[in-house]
Amino acid sequence: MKLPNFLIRYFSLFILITMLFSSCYKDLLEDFDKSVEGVYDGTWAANIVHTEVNLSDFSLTMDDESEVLIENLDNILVLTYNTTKLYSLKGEHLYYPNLETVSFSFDITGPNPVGPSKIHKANYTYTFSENIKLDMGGMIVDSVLMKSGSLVININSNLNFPYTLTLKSDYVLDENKQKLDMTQNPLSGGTSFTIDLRDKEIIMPYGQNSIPVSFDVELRPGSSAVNFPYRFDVNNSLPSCSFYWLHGQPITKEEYLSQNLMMQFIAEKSILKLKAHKAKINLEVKNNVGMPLSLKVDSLILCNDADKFYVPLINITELLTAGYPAVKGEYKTTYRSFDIENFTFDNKNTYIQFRGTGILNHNGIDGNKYFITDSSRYRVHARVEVPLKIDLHQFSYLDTIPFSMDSLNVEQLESALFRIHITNSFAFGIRSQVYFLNNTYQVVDSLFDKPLVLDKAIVDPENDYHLLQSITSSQDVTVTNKRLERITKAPYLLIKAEVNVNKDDPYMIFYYNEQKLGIKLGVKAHIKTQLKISSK
Amino acid sequence: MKKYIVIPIIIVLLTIISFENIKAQQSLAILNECIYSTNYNPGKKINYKWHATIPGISNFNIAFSENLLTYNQLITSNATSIIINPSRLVKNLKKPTRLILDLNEELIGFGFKPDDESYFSFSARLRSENYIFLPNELISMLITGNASHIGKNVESNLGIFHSTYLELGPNYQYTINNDYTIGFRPKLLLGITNIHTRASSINFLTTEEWDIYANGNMEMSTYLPVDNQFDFKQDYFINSLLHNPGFAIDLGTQINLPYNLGIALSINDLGAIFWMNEKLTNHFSFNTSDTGQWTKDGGLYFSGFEISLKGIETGEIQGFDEIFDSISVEDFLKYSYIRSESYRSPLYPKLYAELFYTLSNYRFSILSRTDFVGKHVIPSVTFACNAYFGDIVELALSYSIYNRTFNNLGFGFHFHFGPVQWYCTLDNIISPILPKTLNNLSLQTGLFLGIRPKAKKTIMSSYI
Repeated sequence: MKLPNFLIRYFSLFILITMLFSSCYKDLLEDFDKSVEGVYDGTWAANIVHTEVNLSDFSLTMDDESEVLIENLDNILVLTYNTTKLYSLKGEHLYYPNLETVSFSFDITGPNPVGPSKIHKANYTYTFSENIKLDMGGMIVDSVLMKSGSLVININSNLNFPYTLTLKSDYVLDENKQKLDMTQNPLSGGTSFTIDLRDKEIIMPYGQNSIPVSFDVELRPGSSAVNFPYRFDVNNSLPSCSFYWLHGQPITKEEYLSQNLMMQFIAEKSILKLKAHKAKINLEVKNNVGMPLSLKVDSLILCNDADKFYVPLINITELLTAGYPAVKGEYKTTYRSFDIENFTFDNKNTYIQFRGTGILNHNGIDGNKYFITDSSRYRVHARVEVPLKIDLHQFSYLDTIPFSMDSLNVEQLESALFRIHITNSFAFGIRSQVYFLNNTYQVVDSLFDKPLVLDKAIVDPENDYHLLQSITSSQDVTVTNKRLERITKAPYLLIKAEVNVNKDDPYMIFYYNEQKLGIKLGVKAHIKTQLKISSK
Repeated sequence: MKKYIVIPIIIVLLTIISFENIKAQQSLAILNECIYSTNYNPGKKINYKWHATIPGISNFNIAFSENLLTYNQLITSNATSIIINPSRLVKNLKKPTRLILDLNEELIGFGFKPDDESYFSFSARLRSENYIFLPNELISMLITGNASHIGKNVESNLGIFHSTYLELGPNYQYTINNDYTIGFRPKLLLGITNIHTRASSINFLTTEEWDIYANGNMEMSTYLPVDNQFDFKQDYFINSLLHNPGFAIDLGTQINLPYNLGIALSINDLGAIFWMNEKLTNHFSFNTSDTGQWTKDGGLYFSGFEISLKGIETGEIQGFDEIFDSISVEDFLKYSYIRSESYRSPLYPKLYAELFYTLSNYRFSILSRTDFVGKHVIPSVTFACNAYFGDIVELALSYSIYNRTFNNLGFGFHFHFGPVQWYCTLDNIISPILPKTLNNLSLQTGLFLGIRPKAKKTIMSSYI
């Protein structure tokens, strides 16, 4: 059978085409043996950081427990400054137990036992009582809860046969209120007792700071010969000990107190100078000691060395009687308030000078009983309230913060555009700059050629200077590749912000919650890169 | 004679222009001598006396199409390396992108002509249809960056539609006056596997102030041979093959008009499958939620690292890593795959409209096909010229625009070797030759037995 011509032509053409284009498959197969690279060309925009600062968000704990915060009181923001604190000695340093080391002895002269006895091959039982004295640094103690200490009682004897010695005290109680009861069974000679005083409550019943104890002796000679008299020599030691609390009649304890109660405010990073038209200073005495406290204040002066501003808050020595807590662990706080005007504040140089004497239990031993714990003490500090109705003289802020942009590969960045968007609702202008620092804190670049100046917000003098309109500013900074490389390698950012105080501004600057500063810093980056995905 | 050539050319050009924004799928098999052209139009007139399939090899169809990745568009190569440049995809991503895979295998079939006007046939087929609609807006943004989308919400809708089922049904057609043919095919369906996307949305917004907000959600019903722990459940699957019934119908007609013109219309796969075996019906749910510092309103929200006065004071400034550390992926991206009640999923109807013109040994046609998948409408168009040689050969040349691809030059043939009929069509003969241009691949081929009436064998073609 002969194929039609058109079929022959068709198949010939098909084979020709197939041969011609078989090279395409060859190209494709060769591609599979090549390394693979990827090209990326995109532009991304996103904010890096944002903040919206309202002064009432402000709360800053400083060293030594001083604290700054801003509170909204009656729609006026009030800066509250808790100064550094002055502490008295703790109870454990005011009173410390001290054992009166004594030696005593008792003799067994013959069979005059207590209880049943027998002449021969019998047990002989005797009881002796003694007081162990413990001094408490001037307090006549009723009771004490010990925190630590080991009372050792050593006994030497010439007994040459076994005996039982029991140490007892109804005035030493363990945590389960069980009385002291310890027994030793030496075969002959002496022995000793070691009493762990931890968590033991000791009652001293006779106003003599002494612990009544008794020794029960049972002689068990068995078949040994008994040759009276026998002697017991006792001595004791208490190398170191401490208490949780004491209760009794203390003597008066005085302590001289002197400290400048500092009012520093991020002094290393900022300069703040202002004049408050009025301020309130609360001298606060917080007492954790369970006995009466008097403070004889000799000197209390508000000081600002920079402006030579000194305001004595008291003119003559003043005796301040403070309360005391009735329950262990509680506090009793006593205040003494002072109102001042035209208070000049400088965040590096303002403090309150305090000089005085703290007197615990001013009346001494008078039959009244008090307590003190090992950690209880009293403290003095000042709480300064400054309504932010102020004249702002200067505020500059300079801070270095870590800033890592390691995740950005500069080689992949064609360009970047930084955009800073600021909304200012404060009644003062702001001048700011952002610097990029290297590892040695040297400036390698700055974000803006000139500091970014932001005008003050518009306030309404007819309405107590409330905010009328915020001021918004947006600035774009295009960063070239080389400059971007410098920036992204910078491990630190230095932020500098300065309040632009204008003498033409209203004399009074009011601060409300509505006043805040919003900052957004974003980057629009053109990423253009070629990456090796796999290699052959 | 010239006008017979010029007019189709003009029509072709006009149609290409009008279909510039086409969002389409693959074309039909274009052979007219092939009994299986009635798969697409049950009303297309059959000129066989009888036919019978050879089980397994009579009608096999695979069609793959995607309109996002073209090798030579995405990849360039030099002597040592190949370079992938995703930005070359951006143009494609400006319009909907999708991936389509259809499989069709006739298991058994036969037909005969009870009288001069009618033809009755029966067919049992295994079909699988798959449509994946890509989130092209999101992909495009990831390639170009979000800078060009500032102030605009980039919303993408990922969609997955899949159905595999057994289709059984008779086809009956009736011809009036040799010019009007109508046909219909009621079908019983037996569902095998299914994925049906009910809702899908991925949003990415970059505000004018460069804040970034992103969220997403997706709801799908599935019937797969796994339970809600993704453990394969062979017994459940096999034992319940007959438990997912469905019903559908195909309707079609062909009308011969004066001046050798004609039209053919059909609508196929109108119906649904009821997935009744609740041991394997599951519901997949995915959404984002507020779990972390950088989440808000059910999505990711990033307006920059927050610097507080205290942070400035202490130097505790957050880093990029903290975004991801703070967002617990398990909590932020919440998904579940749980047992659900039985559900119904529609088939994917197709609407065909054909205009044809016969001239001597040639037949020219324009065929439009529109797929309806969920809320997606996918049009396509095919221009074809069939030539008939003697009484044994039909050759066809086609050009299709589908799935927004324009390089689909097709070719097909049908040979009558006595009662043995062999046919094959390729919608795209360029891709196998130039594999780097591959977007689409559609092959339909088979071998079946069929006898035409003697009166018809003497003319050049049954359709002329």
